[in-house]
Amino acid sequence: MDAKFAPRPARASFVRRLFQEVDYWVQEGLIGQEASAAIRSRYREPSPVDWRGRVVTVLTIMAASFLGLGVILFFASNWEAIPRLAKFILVSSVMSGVYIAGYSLRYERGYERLGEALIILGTILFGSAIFLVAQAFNMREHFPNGLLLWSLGILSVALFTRSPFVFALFNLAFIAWSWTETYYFHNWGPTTLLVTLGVIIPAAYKLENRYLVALGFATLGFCAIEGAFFDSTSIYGHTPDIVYIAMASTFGGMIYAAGAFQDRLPEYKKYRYIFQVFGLVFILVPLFLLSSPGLIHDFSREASSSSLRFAPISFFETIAMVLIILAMLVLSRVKKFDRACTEEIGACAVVVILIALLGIIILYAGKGIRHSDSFAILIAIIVNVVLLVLLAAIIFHGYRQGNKLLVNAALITFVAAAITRYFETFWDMMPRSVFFIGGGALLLVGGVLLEKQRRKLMGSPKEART
Amino acid sequence: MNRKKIYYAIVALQVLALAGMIGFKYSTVLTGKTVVLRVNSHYPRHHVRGERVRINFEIDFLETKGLGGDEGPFKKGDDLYVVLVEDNTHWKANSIFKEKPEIGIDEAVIKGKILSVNPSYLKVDYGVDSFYVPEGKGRKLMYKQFWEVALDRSGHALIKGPVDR
Repeated sequence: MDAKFAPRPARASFVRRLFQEVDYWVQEGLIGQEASAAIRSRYREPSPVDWRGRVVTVLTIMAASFLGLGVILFFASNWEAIPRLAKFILVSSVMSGVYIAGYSLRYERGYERLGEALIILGTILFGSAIFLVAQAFNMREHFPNGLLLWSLGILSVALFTRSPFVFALFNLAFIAWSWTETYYFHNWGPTTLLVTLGVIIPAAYKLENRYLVALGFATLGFCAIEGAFFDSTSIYGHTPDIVYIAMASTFGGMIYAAGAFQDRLPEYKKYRYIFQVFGLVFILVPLFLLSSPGLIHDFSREASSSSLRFAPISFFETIAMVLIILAMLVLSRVKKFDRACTEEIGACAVVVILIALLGIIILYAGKGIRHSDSFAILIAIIVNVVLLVLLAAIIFHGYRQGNKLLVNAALITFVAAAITRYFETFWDMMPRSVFFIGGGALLLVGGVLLEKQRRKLMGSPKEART
Repeated sequence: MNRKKIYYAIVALQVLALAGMIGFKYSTVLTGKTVVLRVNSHYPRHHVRGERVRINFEIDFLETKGLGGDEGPFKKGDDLYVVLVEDNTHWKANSIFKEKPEIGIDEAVIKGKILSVNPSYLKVDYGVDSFYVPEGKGRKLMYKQFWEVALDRSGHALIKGPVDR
């Protein structure tokens, strides 16, 4: 084995499975002992204590949360027993003590997990101390400032410790601050987006933690939704649901495209799964909702009752996301990625632009048109055709890539859409008994055909990737 | 600076931030102007963090017709400066402004945020609608009609407690 290769980090479950396979390969004569040893040396042997480590992490994090809650309740309920200044001194001392003990255990005594849990407890205590001090001294003016102060405190600890848990806590506290500012005080600005793009997402990538990356991109989605919400809290009036739906699908398209793009970059390949799941959910759910004439009718009515004629933030955010998808499309060509990548990103662009256009039609078509049943049916037919073509494309692409996630997601959506259409179409037309017998028979036949097709598709993938 | 010192500095900063909050409170109470505001309705309300009294001040609802100052239009979410003048038992709204106005020696200004706009009145939040009390004391404060509020130079308000008039 070439010594220049250091053992690669990998999940214990993957390494265990790989080693098992390697043993089979040796038995079957596919590879020799030398190759087996070379493969094994690329990964660290999973230790039986690995799972215990995870249990310790879970237990200590739970313990930190319980302790934090207990301390909050203790100080909050002992009003008369403790004078206000003494309460502050006590809270600060407990917080500092926990922080210091956490440092000592993690960095000086080698109890990494326990130390980390205490540091997390310290950050929770800092947050509770802010609100206890505000409560004890009757400070309520602009309470989101407390959340901002807490976020900054957690961030400073997160940057120092580089702990994914502390970063996740910072992320959540920051979202809470941003949302309370927008929801309660109608303050909205680019700060959340800038922090998400400048701190949260880069930190998640730096720590190479896929859950943090997912949380970071969820925060990006939150930024978009918050902007749309601000449209409705400001002078413009109520934001219709169709705006949120169009934005969600555009966000999904952007995320999926980002996943396809990263899939071609070796160091970012490991995040592909997260982006595909996120992206597919945000693309397929809005499309599924828009495939129902009844819901389109509701969206149209709601849009026409809204005083909002133009939602500027939602509009510009949607345009920005479409532009990002198009930029990725161009980049994939420039970087000469494989054709499948360009097709995936191109499909995302086509779908999100189409949904955005349908959203605009629902928003701005004349009232007489919007309220008619034929309008809802026409839109639903268009969406159903798009959905069908898209699902076929996803299944085909999933097969070509050997990606079970894509195939299964498309099949589930197809079945859900088929059941919904069946209910919508035949519920009022048939006697109930015939309806259920027919539906059951259809499902059974459909299920058998789909499973047969799925097995055929997944049986001979070119490259097993999931 | 070694890592340990940086970490200790972070912890110290967090303690200082908490102390700063208290310092801010005391500076407002010590240096600010104290006014007495009348309460329209208030009720004790239990909360997971402790018992608190919810207070609706008379100036939470401002009838724009009789008030001087800016005439609007006012928007939900905008800051509002309310100039108060003393009238026998308590301080009342005299005029309203979008920007902080210059005030006389016998006047005070409180800063709020417009919660809703109606043709005849504005609903305003001054951040002084809650007063935390020891467990079981909330109900006793239910009938207190006048409450002292400290105001700093910028119009930020801090509730001090009930007074008898």
